[in-house]
Amino acid sequence: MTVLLETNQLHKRFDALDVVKDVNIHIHRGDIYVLLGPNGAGKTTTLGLIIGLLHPTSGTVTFAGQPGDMAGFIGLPPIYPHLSARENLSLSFAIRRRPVDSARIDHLLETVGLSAARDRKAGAFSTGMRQRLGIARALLFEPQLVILDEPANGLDPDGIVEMRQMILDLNQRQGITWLISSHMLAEMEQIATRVSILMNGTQRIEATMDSLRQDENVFMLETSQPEQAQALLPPGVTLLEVNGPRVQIRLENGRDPAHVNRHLVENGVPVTEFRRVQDRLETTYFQICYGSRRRDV
Amino acid sequence: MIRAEMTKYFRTRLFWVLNGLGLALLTAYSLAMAGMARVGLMPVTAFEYLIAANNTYVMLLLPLLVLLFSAHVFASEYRWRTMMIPIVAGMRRATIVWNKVTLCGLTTLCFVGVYLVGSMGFAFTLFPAQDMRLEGHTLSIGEVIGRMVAAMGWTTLIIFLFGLLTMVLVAALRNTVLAAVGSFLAFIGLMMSSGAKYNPFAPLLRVTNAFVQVADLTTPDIGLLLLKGSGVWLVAFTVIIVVLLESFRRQDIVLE
Repeated sequence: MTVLLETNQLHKRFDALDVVKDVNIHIHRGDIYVLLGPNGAGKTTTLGLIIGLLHPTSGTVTFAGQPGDMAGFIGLPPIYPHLSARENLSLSFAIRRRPVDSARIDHLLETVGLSAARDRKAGAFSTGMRQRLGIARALLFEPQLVILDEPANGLDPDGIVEMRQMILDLNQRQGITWLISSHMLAEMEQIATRVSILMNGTQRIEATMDSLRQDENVFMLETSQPEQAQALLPPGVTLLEVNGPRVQIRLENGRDPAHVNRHLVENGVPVTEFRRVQDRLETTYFQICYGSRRRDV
Repeated sequence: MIRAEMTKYFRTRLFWVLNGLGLALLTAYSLAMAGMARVGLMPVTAFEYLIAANNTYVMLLLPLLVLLFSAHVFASEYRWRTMMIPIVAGMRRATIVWNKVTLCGLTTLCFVGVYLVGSMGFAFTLFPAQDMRLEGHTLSIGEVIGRMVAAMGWTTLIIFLFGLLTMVLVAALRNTVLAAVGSFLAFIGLMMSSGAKYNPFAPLLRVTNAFVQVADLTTPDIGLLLLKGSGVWLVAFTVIIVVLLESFRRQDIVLE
């Protein structure tokens, strides 16, 4: 896959504060690239630099597409509050000096679930509706890259699932590349192909989800005797962390988890639960951001 | 592109409220003047009414309305977060500025147009329309109207400059009211400086006065005055545009 957008040592300083420090992002065509990080990590600033709202202090942003091939929004989606949803989208055609395609507008409003509200003034929209309108606007001209900042904000659970489905669908059917900043680790884990984690403006990791998933050998066992379990771990099993009755371990490739479980039980460790750790992105995230597997440890 | 700007702003409530307010105040002003005329006070003729209206309404209320709206057309893009729409679409910042400048010119024309139509209507319905004596010359009604339109056209150019100044202030202050008031105070300052001995902007103001006060507009002096006035306007326009373009080009657009 070719690189569609990349940043090279992207740096932004506001007054004396370095908000983004030498960030290198590589978004390949067809990626669903997710920018993760706690509040204040520099995600929105990074998106602002990519979109062109902000000027980098140093470093570069290189986009392989045409200028109009990028779409999206940062923070709360922009709207003209005195115009209807339809008029808001029509205006985007006028801004790009293109004839208004009413069928396309209606189709997109239907796609994002705003058909019934298409003639209502956008200023009266809820945050979720505004978010949907922002997504419709972003998709209007079939861009190569869509940038969304916390797109699930204000959406109800149904809306979040629909949004996820829509992102996946457009990615797979139309090949749209996505750059999404989000806090929703579990949600993003289901769609991301590549992630980057920012912390205090510094990029801690950029990796494909596949490479993160290679570590499928992390298991959690629960027992009333965690110390005994630690002592009796068989060869080829590494202790990662102990948190109360929960013990996290990593099995070497090829080790059978059932065998490890049986070994512990046969040696008198009362194992009440033994499962593969499902929230791998969350695990990686907390380990990278806070140096531990869970934030509350 | 300018069609998009017009759709955005000619459909805002503020545009119609300000124009309506302007017309309502002009109506009140004109009726008051007509009342004064009936009891024998000035103005007596349509031309005198138009001059009086120019000296009060056009010098105070009209610029305030225009400057408020000019501030709105720039500040609202930050408030609505819509500044990012053209930027993410790849539009150059200079193009965004020129679109706003064009819109500012159009809205200034709209406000002035409403005033012109309104004031002409009141002038010729509430006051007697008669030829005007000026320095021994008699001006026909058509000539009077032509001179008033020319004076207003020149005033429009001056107000437009301050509309642009308002945009510079919006880019710096991000506050509609502060920018409009700051620019309005600068406008008042310019008007009050008309009598100052060394005033580089004096030719600008003298052109307007010449249209309504000088009997013969075909003299070389008037030609020179027009040339000087145009030069001052051009220099002021260039300076303001360069500052606006440069400040917006360098700006980090942080949307709340």
